[in-house]
Amino acid sequence: MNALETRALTLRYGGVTALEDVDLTVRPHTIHALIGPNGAGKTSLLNVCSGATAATSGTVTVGGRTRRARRPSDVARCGLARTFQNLQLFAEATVLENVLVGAEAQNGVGPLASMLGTPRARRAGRAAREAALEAIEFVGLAGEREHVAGALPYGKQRLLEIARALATDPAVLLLDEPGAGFNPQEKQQLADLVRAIRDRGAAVLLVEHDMPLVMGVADRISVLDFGHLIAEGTPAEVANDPAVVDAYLGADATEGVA
Amino acid sequence: MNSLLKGSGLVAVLAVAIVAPLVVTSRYDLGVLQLALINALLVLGFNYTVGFTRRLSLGHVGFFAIGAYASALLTTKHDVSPLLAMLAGVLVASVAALVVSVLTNGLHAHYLTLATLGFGVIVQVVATNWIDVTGGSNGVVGIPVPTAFGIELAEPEQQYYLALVVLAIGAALMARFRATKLGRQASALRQSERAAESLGIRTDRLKTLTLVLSAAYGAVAGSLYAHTYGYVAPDVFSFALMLTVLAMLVVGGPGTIAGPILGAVILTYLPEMARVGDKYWQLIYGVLLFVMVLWAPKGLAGLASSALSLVRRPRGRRAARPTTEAVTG
Repeated sequence: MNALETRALTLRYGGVTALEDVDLTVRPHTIHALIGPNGAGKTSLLNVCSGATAATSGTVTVGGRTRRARRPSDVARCGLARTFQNLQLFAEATVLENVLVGAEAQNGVGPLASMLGTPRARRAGRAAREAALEAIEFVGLAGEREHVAGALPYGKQRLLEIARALATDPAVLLLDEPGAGFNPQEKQQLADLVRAIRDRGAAVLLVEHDMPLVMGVADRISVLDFGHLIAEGTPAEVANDPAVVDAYLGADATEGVA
Repeated sequence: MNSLLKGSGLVAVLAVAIVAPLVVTSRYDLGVLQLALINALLVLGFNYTVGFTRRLSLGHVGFFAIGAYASALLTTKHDVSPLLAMLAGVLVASVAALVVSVLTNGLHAHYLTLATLGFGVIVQVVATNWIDVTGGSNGVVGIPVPTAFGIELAEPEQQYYLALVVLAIGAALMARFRATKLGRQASALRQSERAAESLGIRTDRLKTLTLVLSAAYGAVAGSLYAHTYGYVAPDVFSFALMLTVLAMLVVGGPGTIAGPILGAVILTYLPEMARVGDKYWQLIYGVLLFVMVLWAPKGLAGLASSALSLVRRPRGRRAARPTTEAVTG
């Protein structure tokens, strides 16, 4: 069973085709990178997969569940979590509160049980707190647990978003340019973290511009160009694919020479 | 330490509230006190939507009107007991909130505000024009005094204490809401709806829940109003009242529990002073609104808590101290 699957996914805005017939398969326990030049449709694809944008046609399957998902929360409940290119933290809340919201979002405790504080609600609350603390520790923010999210340095805000997404215990995690604004050392730490997320049991779909980072960390790479998937394979296969070199790396290389 | 301070503050406020009717001598002043409590309950309900989720839903006075008319009509025309009439009002207001919510959950900002404002207008128009049932602009008179456990509460002091008990229950429920998962989710929705959805929070249901809760508080406040004054008419439930309720929340401190109550009490009193007292009170009233919005966007409750944390512990648990090791990109 695949963690994430798109079949014949097409997205059009009026006359503009953002995605055309995209068949993407993200296998479990895999770091799958999605690359492509600016405007290739990477973020569009993430938005369709996470339910934020409705596809014009085609299907998205998360964790083998094809339940009709109409909102991002439905997709999240099928086991998909994501981070945002422009951070979407609960900026006034503490680190722990941010992650706790993720940990208890899908624990099935209804409003009434929550208000009454039933034994089950209290048990679920304790479990959520433990899961939140564990996720905070996992990304390395244990020292900042009580800090207000909005006051954290930028890099730590990115880590916090990852922790919050992980706290939902996803089958697949979408990371939208997690390394933006990072220095090389931080990128190295990020690569280690992404590997640790995979080894923990979640598949990762990674959108990232930094080629060395992608080549170093990805198990599989899909290349998107003008809304079409033009290649898929291991980093070595993709790097040597003439179509990719033309569309992407080639252009970069030429720029580098010029 | 902090909770001890809060606890003693709560006891002090309750003590003042309990003693107030004994100190106040004139019937008129007691009437203002009663109105302050009813307003406080109304504003507390408004806090669920505008305070917690920061969705500016301006139909709140419509729910207040539904509660008031349900009590007025059921007790005068159908001989229903005040308690049952109040529950009926809560039910009708909740169903109305459910419908409004389903229709407006997808709206944001000024679209939401205008659509919900429309609901308030509709309620007032129905109350004015459905003359056979509501008595039109003449309203409904002769509404009986409230009862509690079968005892008629004819004295204003008794009605005051009834309102105080109801308000205390409302505040306690809200404190519970805020301390649980629901409160955290409402706060999450306020800060980033996209993120809340992406985590699996059903934000549409959360919006509905908060609107229904706010409508229920509004309806209870309306029922108390009807039984306290014995009279309801459409012009009570005006857009001007909606703006006053909004001002009470903003001045008091949206998203807090003490704030809406404080704001309601103060803004119930100020206009009364402006009416009977010095003409400058009106000016003070206007300037206060202006100053609060510009320089104290978190309201009186926000001012109080920042003053407290300044005095007591400059480095609070949640103090936002930016760490020195900056991350360079």
